[in-house]
Parts: sequence; structure tokens; C-alpha cells
Amino acid sequence: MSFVAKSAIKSQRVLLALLFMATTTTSCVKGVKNPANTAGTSLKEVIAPATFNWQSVTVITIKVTPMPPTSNRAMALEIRSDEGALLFVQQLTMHQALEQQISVPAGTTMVQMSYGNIKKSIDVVNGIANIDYTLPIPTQYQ
Amino acid sequence: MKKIIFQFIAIMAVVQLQAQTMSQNFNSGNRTLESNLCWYSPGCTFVNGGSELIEGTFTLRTGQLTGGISNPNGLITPWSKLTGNDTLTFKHKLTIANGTTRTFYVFIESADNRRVLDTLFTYNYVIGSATTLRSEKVAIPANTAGKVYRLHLMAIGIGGNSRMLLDDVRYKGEYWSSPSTGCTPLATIADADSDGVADAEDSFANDATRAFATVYPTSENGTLLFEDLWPSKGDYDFNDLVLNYRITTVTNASNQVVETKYTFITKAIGGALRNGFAFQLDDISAQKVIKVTRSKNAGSLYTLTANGTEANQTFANIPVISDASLLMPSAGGTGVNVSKLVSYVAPDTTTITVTFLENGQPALGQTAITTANINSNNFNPYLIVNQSRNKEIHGANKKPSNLAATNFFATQDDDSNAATNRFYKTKNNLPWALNVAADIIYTQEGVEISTGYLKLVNWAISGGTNFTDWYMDKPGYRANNNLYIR
Repeated sequence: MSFVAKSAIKSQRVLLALLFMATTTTSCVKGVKNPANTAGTSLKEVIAPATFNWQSVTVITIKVTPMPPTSNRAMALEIRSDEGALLFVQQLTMHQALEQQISVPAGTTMVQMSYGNIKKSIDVVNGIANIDYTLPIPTQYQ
Repeated sequence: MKKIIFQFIAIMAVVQLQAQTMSQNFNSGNRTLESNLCWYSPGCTFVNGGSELIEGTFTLRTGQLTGGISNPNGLITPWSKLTGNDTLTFKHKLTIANGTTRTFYVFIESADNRRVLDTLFTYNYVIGSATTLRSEKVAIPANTAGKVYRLHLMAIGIGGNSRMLLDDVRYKGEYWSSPSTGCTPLATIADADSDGVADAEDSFANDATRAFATVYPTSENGTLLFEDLWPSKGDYDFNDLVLNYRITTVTNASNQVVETKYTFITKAIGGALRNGFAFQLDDISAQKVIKVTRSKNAGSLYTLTANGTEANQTFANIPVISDASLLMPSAGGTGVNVSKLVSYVAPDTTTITVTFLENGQPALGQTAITTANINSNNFNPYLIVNQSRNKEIHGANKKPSNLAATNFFATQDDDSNAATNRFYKTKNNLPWALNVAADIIYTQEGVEISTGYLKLVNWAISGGTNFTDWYMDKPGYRANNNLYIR
């Protein structure tokens, strides 16, 4: 085998080794970044998004759509977690609008509202819980 | 003379209030909405066009009046406090001239005797001319004055398929229904402290200066976990100082914050440093605080002002612990409650109340804080490293207090940049503090937290979007052998 041929084989081996190293290195990075494949990953290897605040509490906005004016009597609007914890309470009439930030556990997708006998489950969508007082017409008055 | 005029105006104002007009023209076009406002219209629709429209944009139309007395259709008004000696006015007609009989009734129902309907008005349509619009004036008896009633404007018929149309219903009365309690008559509300909040809803029924109490983070305590080698990375066991916390916010009937009560339970000290702990209320001026009441002294690490907040701070900074190792002396070796080989030390509880309103009044020269001003974003807890008051460790991107030395920023592993409000993060955005909305078990000394909580890394990489429940005891979530479980 000529010197040139030997050199070529040597170069190919170096390239293959570099390719292997590049592949394994890339795999490591993918392992950290892919949430489905993080078992055994040290926190020290993690690259978190710059905006992440490492809190499992967050703030959502509740938006109350008011009814047309009727009585001026105010009642307590209560917002509770699914577990029943009182997250927010405020005295207001049904014709008062309200937009308010409240603190909830991160990942909260639903809250429970009550206002007198009006009780509803409210979805939290994009950090907003839209609340209104509308109920279906009672059966006897349909 | 002036006094007489004033009295006359006052009397007229009361009369005007009592003489509020109850009216329904159906122009909302929304039967469900009107039902929620206690204007019921059983068997009816709102129509908005053609010959059936009486006036405005919508008119009420009953179903086909064929069921006789068992199938009345029409309008039921909300409960209202009547003025007496008044007239109920309305307009009505049939859609077409057919049917065996068609009768229009007005009944009055007393809130005191709801099973009895007294008849105020009866009109038997003359079928041949029933499509002619009629305007009615029905006398409301004088003895109804000041009492609560509702009116039923109903059509009943046999045979044929004609319907009744109704519009422009008016009478005088004060709205006295409760849409929030199934449209029942408004009840007299028990309110012992006269603060406007019903006793049934008032957490402080005998204290007019307080009404409600909410808790944060949830029904259980939250947990704060710190690494204390900042600005160097630590071992990521996040147990150098571990505290549970709970915040109760007390508000009054006007939704002003009276006080916030903080409970901190020191559970573990995972190092040898003598660390302190405090919190800042971001964007809440120290001047807003009337007083700080503590279950124990803040200690020698802090200089306090007269209101109990820390001196020389713009925002309210509330010292909690000067030296955690004095509260929980080690039972042997280094650290407290981080090794199962060493005896357990009972956690230490510190409670602090920050008062913003006293006797209903804010601090002198200050305005009251409302629930719109304060939430979890304002709560900025921090560790003070080894008795160096100027060396603070806050949560990721939380601002340092005025007393924090800035010369530690952007040194060693810290990648803070005050110009971009980036604080207490490494180049890879890793923190020195975690804030969890639950009472969690921390890891043992020197054991990285991600080996105890197997979904923590997934949560972090997703920026908090995935595995928001990473701290829960679910299958595959925890490696209990790495946690400090006694």
C-alpha cells in the first residue's frame, strides 16, 4: 500500500472518529433538550429558557363580564382552586366589571367560581379565566 | 328657607328612588340574559321582525295557545317592592284571529305567600278582532305599597294555533330579586358589623374593619429551597435552607388589604453557613406599612425602622431570620435535618403580620393597598449569606434589595445583568432558589434535587410548561431513596 493510500485511510478514520464524536455530542445535547428523554440528566447540564423563573406558582387574570344593572346589592365573588382553597374573594355587584390578577399554582387549568347560588367551573385559557353569571333558563320557565 | 328646600329635595330624591320604573321591552333579544335578570318568559320566544313586532326591535311571542290552563305562556316579572296606587301598562295582541278561546291574565304573587296568585286583570280576546293592538292600564292596589310582589302576564287558550304578542311592560317598583340566588326575593341580610358584607360571607362577622381572608399559595404550605454558595454554583441539592411558607391576606369590604400574615417554618439547613432570611414586597413602598408584628425578634443582622421594616429600603423589606442555625441548632455533624444518620430537629415556626390598615385607615399620607396591588409577583423572598447583610440570594429574575452589594453580580457562575433585569441566574439560566406551591420533601445532603424529583428537568427544559406537577408523589415522579424521608 502506498503512502498516499495509507494517508487516505488514516484521514478517513480521523473523519469517522470526528463524525462519531460529533454524533454522540449532539445526542447528549438532544437528551437534555428533549423533555421525553431526561432520565438521569443532571440539573447542571440543563439549559433552561431565559424567561423561566423556577417557580411553581404563577399569576392568572380573572375577567368578570358584568350583567346589566339590577339591584345594587353586592355579594362575595369567590374563586377557589379545584381542591377548594380560597384563592380570591371580593365584594361586588353583578353589574360591576372586574379584571384582576390572582396567584395560583402553575399549571392550573381550571378554577371554581361562586357568587351566591351561581357556581361554575371556569377554564383557564392562556392565563385568563373569563367569568360570567349566565345560567341556563330554569326548566320550569323554559 | 334653604333648609326647607333641602328637605324638599331630599324627600323628592327618596320618592324618585322608590318610584323606580320596572320595564321590559325585550329589546335585548336575549331570552337567556333576561331570565338571568329574573324576567322569565315560559313558553315564549323573542321575535324581531314583520307584523309580529309591536315596537322597538323585539317583541315577546308566546307558543301556540292550545293547552288551556295547564299551559300558560307569558312573562313573569322580577320580584319588586311596589309603590301601590300605580298602574301596570303593556301592549298586546294575537298573531292571527283563530282559536276557540284566548284570555289574557295579570296575576300578582306576594313574596309573603307565594302559593297564591291573585288576579288583577282579565281580558277575553274577541277572536275576530284579536289581531288589533291593545294598550292596557291595570291598576295595582294601594295595599301593595312597600311590599314585595311579582307579576305574571299570561295568555291561556284552547283550540286554533294563534299566539299572543306582548311588549312595553311598565310599572313602578324597586327591583327586589336576587339573580345570584335563583331569583328569589331579596332577603334581609344579617350583617352584625354593618360593613356591607353578609355574615354568611364575612370571615370576620363582628369586625367591620375586616371581611375576607385568602391564602396563598394554596390550601397547603409552599416551599422555598435555597443553594447558598452564590455566586458559585452549588451541588444543587437545594437544601442549604428549606422553609415552608404560607401567606394569608386579610381584606375589608372595600377590597383593601388590611394585613398580610406570613408563616415561615424552617425545616432544614444543609450547610455550615449561618444564613439569614427575609423577603421584599416588590413595588410596595416601605411607607405603606403601618407596623410589622413578629413572633420573635428579627435579630441583630438587621436595622429596623419604626414601622418594623428594614431601614434604607425603597420597597418594604421584612426581616424574618437573622441566623437560621440559632433557631435550629444542629444535632450533630454539619447541617440540620438533611442526613438520616443524625437526629431530627423539630422545625421552627416564625410568624409575621404586616399591617397596612389600622382602624380602616392607611399609614399617614399613604393610600390603601388593594388586592389589585399585591399578589405572588410581589413576594420576593431571599437568603442572606453567612451573616453578610449585603450578600443576598433571590429567586431567578427577582430583584435584589437596596442593601444588596452589586459587586457579586456577573462574577463566578452568576450571569446577572441589572441593565436587562436579569438576576440570580447562571449562563444556562439555572437558579439558586426554587419556589414550589406545595409542601415538598427535599433531598438529602449532597444529593442533587433532580435525582429525587425525576420530572424536574423536564419541567425546567420546557420553561415550566410541561410537568407542572413535577413535585407531586405520582408514579415515576419521585425517587424516595434520594429524599429526606424520616
